[in-house]
Amino acid sequence: MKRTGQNIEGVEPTATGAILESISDGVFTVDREWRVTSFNRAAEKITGVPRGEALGSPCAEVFKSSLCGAECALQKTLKTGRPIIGKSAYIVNADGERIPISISTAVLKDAAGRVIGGAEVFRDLSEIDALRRELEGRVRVGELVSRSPVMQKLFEVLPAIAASPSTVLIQGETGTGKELLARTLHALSPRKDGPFTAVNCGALPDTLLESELFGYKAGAFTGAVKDKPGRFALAKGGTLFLDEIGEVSPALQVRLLRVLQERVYEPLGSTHSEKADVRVIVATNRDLLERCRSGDFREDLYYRINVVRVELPPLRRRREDIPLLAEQFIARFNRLQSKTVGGLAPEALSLLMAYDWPGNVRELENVIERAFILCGSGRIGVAHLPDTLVGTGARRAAAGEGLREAREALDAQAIRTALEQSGGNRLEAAKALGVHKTTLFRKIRTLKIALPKLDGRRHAAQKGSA
Amino acid sequence: MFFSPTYSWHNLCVSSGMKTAFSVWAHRIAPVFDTARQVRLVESEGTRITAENEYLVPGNAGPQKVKWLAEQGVGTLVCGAVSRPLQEQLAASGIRVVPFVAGDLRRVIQALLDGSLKGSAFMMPGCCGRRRGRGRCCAKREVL
Repeated sequence: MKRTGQNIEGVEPTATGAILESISDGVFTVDREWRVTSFNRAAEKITGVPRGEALGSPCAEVFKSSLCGAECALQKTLKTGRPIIGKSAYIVNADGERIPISISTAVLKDAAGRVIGGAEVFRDLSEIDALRRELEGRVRVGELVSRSPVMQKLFEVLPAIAASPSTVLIQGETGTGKELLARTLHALSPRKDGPFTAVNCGALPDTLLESELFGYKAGAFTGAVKDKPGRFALAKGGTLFLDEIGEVSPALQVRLLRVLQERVYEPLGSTHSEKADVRVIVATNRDLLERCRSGDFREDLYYRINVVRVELPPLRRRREDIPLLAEQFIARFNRLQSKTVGGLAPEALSLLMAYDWPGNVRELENVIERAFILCGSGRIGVAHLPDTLVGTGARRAAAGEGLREAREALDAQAIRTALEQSGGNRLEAAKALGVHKTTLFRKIRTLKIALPKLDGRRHAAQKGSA
Repeated sequence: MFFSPTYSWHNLCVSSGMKTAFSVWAHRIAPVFDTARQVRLVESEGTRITAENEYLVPGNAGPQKVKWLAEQGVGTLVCGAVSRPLQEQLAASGIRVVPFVAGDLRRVIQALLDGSLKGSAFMMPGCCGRRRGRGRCCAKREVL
């Protein structure tokens, strides 16, 4: 069917109007001057703009979509002659709400084939978004997303932890999302309307950190010309997040212990104590117990902060989350960069699944961001992934050679992961991999895999005798 | 309360030594501030323009824009549609927002200077003032 003006060839104009009025998708047409020439009922409903005001106005000022302006979909269609189908965007309504929509465009021609303007069809995705969020609710708490059983257990207890005023210790490798978890705890807590203040204890020298945390009074030291409130004061009524707590010096550990115990502190140079009305969440990627044993961390402070301990597993222990997280990052970068990347090609996903992710979720996010630079549309393929991830064998395989090397690289990766998850126990690892233990030993030998120092059996025996 | 007693749609004028930002696209007020990059900064004393320059705001993210405007010492932002979270960030940075404005940039600047930037002539379709049907009152969202 060829569209002519606002009508469809072979269909009565009145019938065309009735069809446009009855559909739930918003439809409007513009002339060559970008003025709205028709505006159906659904368009009125979705945008909140009455037809009388829309007709004759510049379409961008009526539609108010995130694409209006330099990214105008209709302008691109009129320039190239090619329609755009299902492009994601949002419109800002009169209440300042962002309404997610998908946009499709087409060129309007008259009976003689001359371009007389364009048509834009848009669909309100709010309900679909709400349903998706409801489904995602099972795998999402705040900004945290996971399908992993380990994380699901954490999600179950998170609301209770958030509701309590106790100090929380978050442990996890770098890039596992410790600050994100702290923010989620704050957002779920009764202090959510108060400030969330984060301090990286490893980023500042000791003396600076002390004044940063507790503040100082005018005249406390040279250059202190006026009072400066510390982070404890700024976080009043909210949450104070102390990242890299393991890096704090012994002297400052004593001061922190006092605040956590007595709930009072003195700014530098002050003679009066201030009340600390904050919920403290601390995080570290160090083994604090080990640091206590070596004398670098005070045991009393360790037990004071270790009231509730939450351990964030590294990404390699929750590989099932990789597709979900990658999908989330792709959706976010599509929104931010106005691109239409459709997801990951199966080979690319296999590589992401096989990689060890020493930098955890942060590294995955960076890999996806890098892929967006090289891939503007379509799917992210192996060619868009960094060399460190692809590895020699897999890259050769992607290029159509060395299939054996690629398979061996993936086999070695799977064996290393299984051994790690079984705590070094070869029999358990073989069971997890679904192979006989002799096959596993043979593979370990042929692939020259370095075995972990910890022997799972001996470890289990030691535990049993203890 | 979003309205200031001295600065509202009903009493819209600039005081002396004021720096006002206008979100621009194709010589008009940009339709959506959230995605707009071009800004015209106008310094004025009374109804006289003392300096005027156009800039490309670095970065597309809301907080970056707000930070940049605050760093330029902007007191007022005149823009098209703006999402509520972004408008609240602007207000938190001490920037007055005159949202849902539409029209030719020169006319809007002139209208702001001579205090006539009120009423229906410069409001986006779907906002009150041009109400002939079910339009909502966007201007009430002016945040200070």
